Amino acid sequence: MVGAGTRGAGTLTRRGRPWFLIVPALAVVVVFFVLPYANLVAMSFLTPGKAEPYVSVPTLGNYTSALGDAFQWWILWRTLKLGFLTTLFTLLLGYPLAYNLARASSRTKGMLLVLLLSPLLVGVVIRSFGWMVLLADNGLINSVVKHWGLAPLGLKLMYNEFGVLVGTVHIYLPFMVLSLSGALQNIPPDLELAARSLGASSTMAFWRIVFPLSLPGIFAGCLLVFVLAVSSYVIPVLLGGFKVITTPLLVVQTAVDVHNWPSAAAQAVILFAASLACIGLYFRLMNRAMRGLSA
Amino acid sequence: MSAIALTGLTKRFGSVVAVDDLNLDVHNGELVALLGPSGCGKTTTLRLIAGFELPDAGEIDFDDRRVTELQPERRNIGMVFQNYALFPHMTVAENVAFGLEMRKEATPTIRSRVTTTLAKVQLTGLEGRYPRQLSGGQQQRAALARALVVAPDVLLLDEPLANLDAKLREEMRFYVRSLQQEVGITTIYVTHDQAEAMVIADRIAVMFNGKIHQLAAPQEIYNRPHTWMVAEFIGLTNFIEGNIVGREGRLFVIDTAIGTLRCEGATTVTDAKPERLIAVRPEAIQLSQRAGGGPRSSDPTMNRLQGVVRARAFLGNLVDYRVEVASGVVLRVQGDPHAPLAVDDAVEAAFQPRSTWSVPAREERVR
Repeated sequence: MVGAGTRGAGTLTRRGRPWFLIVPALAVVVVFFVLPYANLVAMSFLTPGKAEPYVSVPTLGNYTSALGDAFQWWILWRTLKLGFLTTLFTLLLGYPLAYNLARASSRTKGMLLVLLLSPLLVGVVIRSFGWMVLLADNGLINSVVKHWGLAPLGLKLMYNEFGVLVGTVHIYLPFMVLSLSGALQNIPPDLELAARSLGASSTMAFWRIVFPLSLPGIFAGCLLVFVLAVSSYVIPVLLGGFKVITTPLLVVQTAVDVHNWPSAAAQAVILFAASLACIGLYFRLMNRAMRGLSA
Repeated sequence: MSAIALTGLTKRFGSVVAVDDLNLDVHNGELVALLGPSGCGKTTTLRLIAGFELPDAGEIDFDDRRVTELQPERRNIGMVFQNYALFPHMTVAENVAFGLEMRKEATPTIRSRVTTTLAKVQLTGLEGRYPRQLSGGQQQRAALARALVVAPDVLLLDEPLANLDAKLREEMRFYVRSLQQEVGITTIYVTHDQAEAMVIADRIAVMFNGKIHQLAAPQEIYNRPHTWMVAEFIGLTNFIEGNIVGREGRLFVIDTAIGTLRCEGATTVTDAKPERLIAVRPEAIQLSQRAGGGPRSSDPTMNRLQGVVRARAFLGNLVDYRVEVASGVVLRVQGDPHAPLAVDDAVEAAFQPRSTWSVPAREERVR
């Protein structure tokens, strides 16, 4: 088995050289992703200039000032909190949706998928603006609430963390649902029935069978949504109205308004490191939970 | 262990009637096979008994316990699925223990019953394996163990051998049968494989279009089919159309395009309509060189047809002939591989009335 596989691969490589096929993709990634990132990391160790963005004098000052700044720690905490809450709520809202999507008949499934994905056809800006119409102080929800006398002063729904969270949860929900339904679809319905036949209630069958088997989908979906939410820019800008500053906003402000590129680079690298640490921790937790699920 | 009674069971999916006013009694400890082509309603019937679907009409009873509306988890059933449906994230032991855990048995009880049951299906030593680390046959036995360990009232098997390779499938037939006998559990076994049903079942219920056409022991199903669909589905059959023109004791005299034939047939449903279909199994027909005319020719009730061998295929343990007995009427005959008959030989095809069986003709609506 192993011998045959190795020989087959060897023959294919000698004859077809399939690794050539990844060269274009590799070139794109290197030129547009690896090099700029390397440049960014390098820049974060340079001294800010007066007239030009930076001067080529190495320093750790960008990091020491960023890490010594309580405000920046608080912004970072808020950013990660936003990522965490967005992930949590998309998971809670998305799971039932994904479950029904996975169990729907093929015709209904197609329709549900279109419904699920159609918001993606409208840009983030426009969808955020849609939420502004609903959530603003004189927006739809507040008009109704005031009209019915439920809250005479109106509700503060926007330009705060709540508004931003509503936006991120809505915009990133499809990514969670797609990850989850992919995993749920791979669970044969017979497994649930088998559990029922063995005396498990439907709730028990879900928690003992379906949920553990969907962990890989939960894992992928949470990772995706967390990374997207932590790095989102447009949604906090529009629904937070620069009152809810997150690290990506701070990075842009530092780079564009303050014109301090090295500090902005350092802040970006710190966010990257913090996200990576969260993801690493998450990997370890999920690996423990998923023990036995993979070969 | 309980007897199963299905009364007037009906299940519709939209405009399709999957199970149509079905009645079935399975005795305590009996194994009944639901046999039929795909889409005949056999699996739906099983899912109704399991509680995965609710019937539109009718009742399901386990002994005197009415379970028609009961949730599956309250029916105390054991079920084996076609793809086994073993829980992939649990070991063999955890899979088998699942039903006992759901019944809130004490841990030592669970451990000892899992051990005993795994020993019964010869999986001792594989407790710690995951399903994907087992062969098809082992997965099958693990699924049986998981279903049997909870001491269910009834055992439901949905094409349990369909995913095994041919050789193993044949072995497992006998294995499943002996295990069922050993446990003595009332069992319903769904299959589309007639040989499997013959080997394994006490009685076979042959189903078409949501109805049971015949419920009888395998031998009776084979030799005395109630409808032409049963005769056609089970084994190979030559059909000869004709009309009843008289009776000779137990025999019908039937006029056909290829001569007057005598045959047996179910008398209860027959007399109303003269149109009949005579079913003759290929192995019931004896071929001889036409010139000869051996001792059998003394029997006056013997059906004799003159024909010509048109094709001959050697199958190892027998030879498959196509014999043209009239222009365009070809009979399939299976017989002695040593018989010196060749293509184009003129032959006499003879068969006993008691090895034939007539059923109501196709046009008639079969009950």
